[in-house]
Amino acid sequence: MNVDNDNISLAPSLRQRIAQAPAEPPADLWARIEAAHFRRVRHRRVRRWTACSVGVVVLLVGVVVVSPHRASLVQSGEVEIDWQARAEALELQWHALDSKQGTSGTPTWNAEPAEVELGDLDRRLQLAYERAARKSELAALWKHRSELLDSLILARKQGLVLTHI
Amino acid sequence: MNRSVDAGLGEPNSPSGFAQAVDASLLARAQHGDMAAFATLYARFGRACYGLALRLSGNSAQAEDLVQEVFLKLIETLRSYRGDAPFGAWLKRLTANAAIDQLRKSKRFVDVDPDAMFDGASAMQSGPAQTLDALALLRRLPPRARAVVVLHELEGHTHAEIATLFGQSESYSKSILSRGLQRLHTVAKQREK
Repeated sequence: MNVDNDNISLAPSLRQRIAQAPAEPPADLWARIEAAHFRRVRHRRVRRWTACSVGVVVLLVGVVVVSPHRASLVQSGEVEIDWQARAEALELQWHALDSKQGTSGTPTWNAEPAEVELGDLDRRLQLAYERAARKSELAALWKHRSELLDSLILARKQGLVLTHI
Repeated sequence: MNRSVDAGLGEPNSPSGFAQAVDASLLARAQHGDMAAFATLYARFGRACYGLALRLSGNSAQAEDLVQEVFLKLIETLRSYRGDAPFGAWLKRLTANAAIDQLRKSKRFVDVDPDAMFDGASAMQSGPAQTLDALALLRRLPPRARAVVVLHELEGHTHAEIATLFGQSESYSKSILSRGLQRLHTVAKQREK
């Protein structure tokens, strides 16, 4: 296959003949190209609309079918709630109330016993993390903390003394 | 060495065919999807594009399909053209690539071995109704050899470029070119007798 072609090339007369051979495209070629382009554009538009429609239908089916199912799961407590995030949010709310109370003068309530319980709960959480407790155990502690903070906030809003929950 | 001949139009390297300059404003309009601008580009380059496609494919129906494919691609990809190369050179490359893709898809492209390729092509004769023109000469070559001859001898591609286009070595490109040219000269001499 090692053919040395360095000395061979197309004869000038032949090259000229080939280069100058008439090559006229059909007169309607551009019209065909344009028509093919518009056909492609139309097909793409139809495909896009179909995809959007299917998407909307799937979304609607999801809303109609999944939402009641999810609602029933929430009611039955099967949906996992992020108790840690909830507890942290409630703590911020509680501190906000606390600082408000601190600036308004005489406190009208005393939450000390519940705060002691909160401190105790924090220690239990700390110990649970240190011994790499299971997720379910941690979730139970965070849930307890959320409930306690809920009660503290409610009590503080109403000016009540909370001894325990 | 640039032996490029502007396929389909007059004198070699004349400012016609793929070598025409294109106004920036025309390109800008086309890049914004203006079909009238594309029609103008076709009016200027359609013939050169068809000429190259015809020489590469050796068949007018395939050449029309190629031109259609190239201009449809142009309409869709012109936005990505940054002007690094002259527009005509870019379009010429699109055309050559489309022709080689078409060859690759066809069963006739499977004969990678030059001996098998040229043996198989010995039966490829022009029909009695075909005129003994230059294109009929090209049709006497196997498709891949025809593409190599056209790209190297008429379009000024180097063996390295052809090897890249075909996914083969440079020596392979040289071998195909050499056999293709020998075949062309033999047939041309026979016809002259």
